[in-house]
Amino acid sequence: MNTVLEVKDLSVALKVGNNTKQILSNIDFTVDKGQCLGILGQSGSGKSMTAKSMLGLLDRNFTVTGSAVYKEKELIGESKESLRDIRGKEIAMVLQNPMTCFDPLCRIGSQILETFQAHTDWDASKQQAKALELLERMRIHDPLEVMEKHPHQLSGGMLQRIMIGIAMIMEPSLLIADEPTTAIDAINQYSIMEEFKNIKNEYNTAMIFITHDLGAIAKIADEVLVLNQGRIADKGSLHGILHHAADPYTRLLIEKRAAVMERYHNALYKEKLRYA
Amino acid sequence: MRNYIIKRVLGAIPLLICISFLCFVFINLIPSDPAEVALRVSQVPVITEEIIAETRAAMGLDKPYLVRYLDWVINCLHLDFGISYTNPDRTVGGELLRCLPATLVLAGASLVLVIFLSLPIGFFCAVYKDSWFDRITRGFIFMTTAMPAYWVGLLLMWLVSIKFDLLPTSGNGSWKHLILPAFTVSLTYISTYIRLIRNNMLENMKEDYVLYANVRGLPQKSILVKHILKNSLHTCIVAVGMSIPQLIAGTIVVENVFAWPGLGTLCITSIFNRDYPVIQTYVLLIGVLFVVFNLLFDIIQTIADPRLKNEVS
Repeated sequence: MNTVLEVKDLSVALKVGNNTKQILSNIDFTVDKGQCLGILGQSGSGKSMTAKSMLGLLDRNFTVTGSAVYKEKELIGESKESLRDIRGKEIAMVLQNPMTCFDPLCRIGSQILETFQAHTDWDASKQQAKALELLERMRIHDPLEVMEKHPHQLSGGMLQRIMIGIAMIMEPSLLIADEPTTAIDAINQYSIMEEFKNIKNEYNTAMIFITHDLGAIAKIADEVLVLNQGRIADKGSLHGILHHAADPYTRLLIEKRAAVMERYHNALYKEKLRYA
Repeated sequence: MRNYIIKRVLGAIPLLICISFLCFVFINLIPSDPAEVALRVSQVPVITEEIIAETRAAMGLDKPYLVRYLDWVINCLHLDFGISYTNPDRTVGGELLRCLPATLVLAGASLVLVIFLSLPIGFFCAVYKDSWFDRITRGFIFMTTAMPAYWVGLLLMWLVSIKFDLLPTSGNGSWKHLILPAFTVSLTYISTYIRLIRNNMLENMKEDYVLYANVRGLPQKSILVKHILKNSLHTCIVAVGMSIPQLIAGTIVVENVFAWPGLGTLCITSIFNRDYPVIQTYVLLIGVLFVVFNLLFDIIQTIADPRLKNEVS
């Protein structure tokens, strides 16, 4: 069996006072080893909610129903503590805003080490060695110095790479990237995308890549799931989605993206003509 | 860092000058003549215009306003705060020093109570938000913030001392005398700090770094204590810094209710006796305490917060 995660009929409802609001309805998908599933949709379509609901990261006001089986283990309804053991070790996640995801008062080193302490019984010297290995693998200069820094002293791109490093050093079976390129600049976006491609090729990790950026999805995803207002709008291979989308919402997304790209290319072309 | 501290200390000097000037002006705006008051308190039988004029000259009250102010400030800098009108054989400095320890004991005990009660209660209120514990505490906070300290003091005295006869009603001598006044003084602060810590923690729980700590699967206890509580306490540092002088100054009413022989009692007696030098020095002392503690805790906060520390150095 190569299936790492199988989600069936996943639904999330939010209870506000006496009303319940359906946020996700009947989400189905599977992720296989070495495969990357892209979840595409605009803000508020329920992309992050899908990931958070499986991992028990929602608070008590949300009710999660359906099933999410990770390696023959049901995640929905699992106890908080056992999900805590899975998170960060078996299923790692990279979040959207690297600048605010680290505790501003703690040094980077201590935040890396506490992750090790939560999941391994490595001794102090092994923890230190692993932390350095992680930073070097993410091509961070002066890893020893970076360990002593506070989050505000590092750039968003660096923090994002550290976050990816923390996720990958535990060698998880599933990596969930929740809009990892949204909050950083274009150059860093490029290098972060390269990082994800490397992970996919080298580690053969199953991956869920959540984004609203069609360009990022095109670079990495094998399968695409399009969400619109908490429901699956379209599902299939990247090629299929790009060229023969069944759903009008998906077609709209692709058309808009194409229009933006065309304008961008036109602008670039004009600039070139001017300087030629 | 050193430059920053020097800069902040120098910056406090104009503030201190303003405080001393305001303090001097306001006390001198009291519509009775200090010379006449001084004569009356020392029980001179017949007060005539000549005697008043003589006393004015002797006390230096006939000099221009600014000169008197400067004289006073210079004397204060030499720690000479003048002589009490009611007790001409006692200096104001001596009187304050005599009463200061009692007030410090009371304020210190209150501060200890505030910290040791509000910290765990606020913490558990945030962790178990909307539980029965949180609800009861919130009701308690609502009640105590609405009750003035002197009334709480009287209620406690009636309940604990008179009904159950557990603790003495007033005076000071043993630790038993300390419990009721310290609890009364600290009650309002306890409510404020419980609310502050609870709300700070709830605010922090919504932050991305808490989500990320959960994503990494860190133990709940470590997230709560090492990250959320630590970040919440940071904003409390300045509040504590301001509360210390408030505690020292705010004991006035409670000291009088419990006949606690501290600065507050001295101040009230001096006001009734129109003992100008004592009132003036007391007001100055409290003002200086506010400036000093504000400065001190600002510096402490800067040192404790890596973001601020970085900016400074």
